[in-house]
Amino acid sequence: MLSSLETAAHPERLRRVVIDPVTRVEGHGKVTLLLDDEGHVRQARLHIVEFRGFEKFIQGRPYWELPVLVQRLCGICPVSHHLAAAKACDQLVGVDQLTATAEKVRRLMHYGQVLQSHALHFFHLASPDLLFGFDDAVAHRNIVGVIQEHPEIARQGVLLRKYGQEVIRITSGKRIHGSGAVPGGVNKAVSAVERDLLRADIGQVLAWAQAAVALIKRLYEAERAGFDRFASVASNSLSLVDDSGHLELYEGGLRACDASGQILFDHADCGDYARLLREEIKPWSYMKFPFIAALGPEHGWYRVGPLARINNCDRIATPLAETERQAFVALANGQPVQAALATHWARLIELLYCAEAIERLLDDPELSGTELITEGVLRQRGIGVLEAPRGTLFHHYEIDENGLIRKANLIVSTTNNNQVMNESIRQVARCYLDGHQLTEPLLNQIEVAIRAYDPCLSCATHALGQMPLQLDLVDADGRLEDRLQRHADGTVLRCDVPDAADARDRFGACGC
Amino acid sequence: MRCFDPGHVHAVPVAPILVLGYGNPSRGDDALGPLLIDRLQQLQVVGRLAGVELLTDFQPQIEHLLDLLGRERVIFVDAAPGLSAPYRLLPVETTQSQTQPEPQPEPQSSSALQVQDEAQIQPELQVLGWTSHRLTPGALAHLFRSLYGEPPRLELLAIGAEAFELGAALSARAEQNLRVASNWLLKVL
Repeated sequence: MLSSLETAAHPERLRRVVIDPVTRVEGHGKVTLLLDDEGHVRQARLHIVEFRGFEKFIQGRPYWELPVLVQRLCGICPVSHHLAAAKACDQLVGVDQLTATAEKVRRLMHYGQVLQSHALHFFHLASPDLLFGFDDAVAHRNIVGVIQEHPEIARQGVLLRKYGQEVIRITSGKRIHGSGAVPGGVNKAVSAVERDLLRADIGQVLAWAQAAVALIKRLYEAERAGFDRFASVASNSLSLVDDSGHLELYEGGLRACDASGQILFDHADCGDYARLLREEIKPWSYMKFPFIAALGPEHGWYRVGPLARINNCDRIATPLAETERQAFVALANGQPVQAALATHWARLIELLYCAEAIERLLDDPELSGTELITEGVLRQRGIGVLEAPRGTLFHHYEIDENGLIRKANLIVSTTNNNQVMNESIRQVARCYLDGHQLTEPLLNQIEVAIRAYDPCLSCATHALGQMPLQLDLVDADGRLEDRLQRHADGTVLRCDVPDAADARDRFGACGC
Repeated sequence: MRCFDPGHVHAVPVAPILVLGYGNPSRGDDALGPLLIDRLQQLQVVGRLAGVELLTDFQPQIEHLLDLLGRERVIFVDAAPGLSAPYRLLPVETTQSQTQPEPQPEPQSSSALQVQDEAQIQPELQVLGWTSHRLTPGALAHLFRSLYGEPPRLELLAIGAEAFELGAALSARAEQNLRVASNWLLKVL
């Protein structure tokens, strides 16, 4: 059910607060809050300037370029796009079943990607909030503070990330812009030397992954009451599961559950995604709002990503992660866990799962097999779906008789989480900001809620010296009443207010 | 040999100089860093630039700390909007202030009430990137010092850029700047 804070009855009578951009997420995000005269929140929205131009960009290009080309969609999760596009291309070239070697090399690449992404998010982006508190001094609440006070944790984060990158380099051929997955298979197996290189450190990686899960459990349980409540939203969940209902990141059927854990559909063919899911357009956001078609837009929105996956699956196929999953589901007595901050816990269970899955694959002789490619007859439609670090990722392509892209549709993980992220910030606005004067720690609470989802806004541009953070309080006439600015150097200043015309100019373009 | 050892990729000692160019090749002038690396790689093919390792990535990241280990000198290469000269070589320690060569208008802060006393902001934080998964070269320098000790000599080669549209080619000005910057870099390497 949609929150009452999505759209205020008389927005023109309310004061507007803008948090632009949200920090420590990938790309550009903006939050707008509308307050009444008593400072009560009447509307809260997360706006994301989604990277929609890419589908147009690739039209007319030959399909075989896709696995390499789509990596430029995102500098943070290029491997997820590489593999999703390759899976779609498998269908385009008429291949429904890869060779064992090809599938295992791709899986290894994918586990490396998820492992490094989850490590980056937890150790670099989320741990400052969790270790020091949401209201800790901004000068301290960052990776530098983590290194100073917890150098071993920081070092482990760096090396876990590095290990995942090495898995990617070995399986895709390059550190970035790799070409390992090709339509119908892979272009290289894993050599004995490469396998030995990864084996040398996997025991250490496993130990660190276990320590990371222990750390998040300790942090969560120390703040259990607050964390259970913070940004908690009862939602449906969508993810892949394998034929036995196990956690599955690379290949499986779609499972959707409602907020109580009842299955809405199960083992659904990913090729039917367009029938099962719809996308709603709202006039105030560039990003669409997907929902489960059978439930409609008001009740059908859902969560994807680590929390949805751990809630949805019946088991995890690796023993250490399964033990941790059982401890996790006990949080809500077997019901789906709905606390946004529990996503961090779920994310680290998945990190552990990936480490175990990598260890298993490294012992599998088929990883070094010689049958790499399967051939088939060209088809006109291909749909590749996998579980990217942030959630279910859909790549859908249609080609013409010359193999050129005629149509492309991508639903990225962050788009799938659009509504649930909005609902989370509304919960935070209602419970923690309502009636209070704006301060950086309060601002950060909104950001903590968003960061739990690790949104990735698919933009790898990073021009120097840009993207400060600004929070403005504007009255109903467009006059700027208050402004906080956080500069790229980390300083936070309360500023003189410019004139009202300036404020109207600024907000006239924000579309809300 | 371990994954975590520097130089394991080639099983040889780490090259004393690293040039790391970063950016998205599909976003107009953001490709300047990777394109400069492409040019240098072509020269390595014909036997030049011995002792120099060339890397490219979308953006500086925390694992690049390990690429700094064992180096004598590291040059980051990035596109820099607002640069009046074709390029500038900047010491990384002061990256944040010097990578805005055309100073931006001060925010309305001349008589600003400071929410947080600037004196309380640790100097090293002034090189941190705050806004995404990426790190600045200055942040890498600081993190390196915290974890591994004194970093190598670190510099940022900022090349003038102006357009970052998806699918766009390099702007004419960026193309020219790339040529000038590449020629200069070849002389000093």
